[in-house]
Amino acid sequence: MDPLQIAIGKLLKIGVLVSFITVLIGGMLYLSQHGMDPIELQDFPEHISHLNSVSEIVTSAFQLGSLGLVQLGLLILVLIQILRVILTIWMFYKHKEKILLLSSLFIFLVLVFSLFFSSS
Amino acid sequence: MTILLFSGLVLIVSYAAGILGALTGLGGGVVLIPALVLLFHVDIHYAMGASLISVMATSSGAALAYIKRGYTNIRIGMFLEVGAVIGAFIGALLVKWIPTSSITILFGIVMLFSAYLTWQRKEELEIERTSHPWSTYLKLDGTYKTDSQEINYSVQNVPFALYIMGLAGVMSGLLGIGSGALKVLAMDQAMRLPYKVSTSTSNFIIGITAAVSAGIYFSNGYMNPHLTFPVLIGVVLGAIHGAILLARVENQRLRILFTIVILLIGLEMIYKGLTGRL
Repeated sequence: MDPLQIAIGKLLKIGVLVSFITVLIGGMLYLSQHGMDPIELQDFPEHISHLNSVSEIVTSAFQLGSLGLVQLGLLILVLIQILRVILTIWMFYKHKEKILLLSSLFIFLVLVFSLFFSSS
Repeated sequence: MTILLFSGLVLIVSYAAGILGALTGLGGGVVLIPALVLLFHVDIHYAMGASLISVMATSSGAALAYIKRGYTNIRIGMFLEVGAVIGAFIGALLVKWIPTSSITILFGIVMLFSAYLTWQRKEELEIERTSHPWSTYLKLDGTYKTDSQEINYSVQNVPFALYIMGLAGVMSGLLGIGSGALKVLAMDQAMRLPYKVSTSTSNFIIGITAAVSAGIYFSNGYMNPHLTFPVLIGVVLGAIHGAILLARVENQRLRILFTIVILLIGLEMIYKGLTGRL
């Protein structure tokens, strides 16, 4: 099989593991502090009460904030999707496959634009 | 309900969603959204955020096992994904002009019809055919390994599959959910791929599609860590389990499972269209 295809598989494996462990640590930490509190997810508040921007999430995660770690794990999950598109671009470039290269470049651009525009 | 109990219960539901998502190529939102909204009374926005996480987690978690076996056809996936992305863009533009309730009902009926087509296909009886010229040109034909042998497969009607993918994109732009089923159908019914190749390839691309919406979901506050924490843990474990199961179960049995699931999606969509709920 194509070595780059195997590389994509490996990337997914490591990426999912890192994301999983980050979320697990954050979640365990959170449960140990608030496990006995009542859950409140019935209403969608007008003002977002939890972390939702990259800078907030990273700052909180580095201070070992439990919910910050969970959100960081989710960001890693999103990052894996971008990285795997980059790897497929590289794969089609190496094989000189014009149409498939253009396809994956197009998908990459849409992905990056949507993430960039929604976070700015 | 305490947070501890809630997390435990959501984790179990997510595990089941992960297994089902990996086996059907649908990502798991099909089970997760109704379960969270109806059983746990979670707000629909948070449920949608959780569903998006579940799609990316299934896609990445299951892919480890699929790629190794050669089930995932990355070439077909990336080629078809272009159609879905363009469709999603058109769908998002149309959303202001089209009454979504009637579209939802129509989509539900399409799902019921597709359930019949999926159930009826006997891929083992189909004779070896030459591939569609586009497939030959793009080298889309592939091979996958079972325990005992290597199986070669050809690829039929590529333009029709691309058209269904575009439609899947329009649907996801218009309705937000349910387009995964059309992606599997594009490969199963138009391209006539082996069932395992269709689901695995669908699983590979749905994570990328979901990532396109992830930024908007984050900044709108749909990603609530209280909920996404047990969902991610449960779905990743379930998806890995599902991927191991996929290798062992025959195509025909998986096909029956998929039929049942899209039948349920169809009914869910018709219910949603008629009542405006979910």
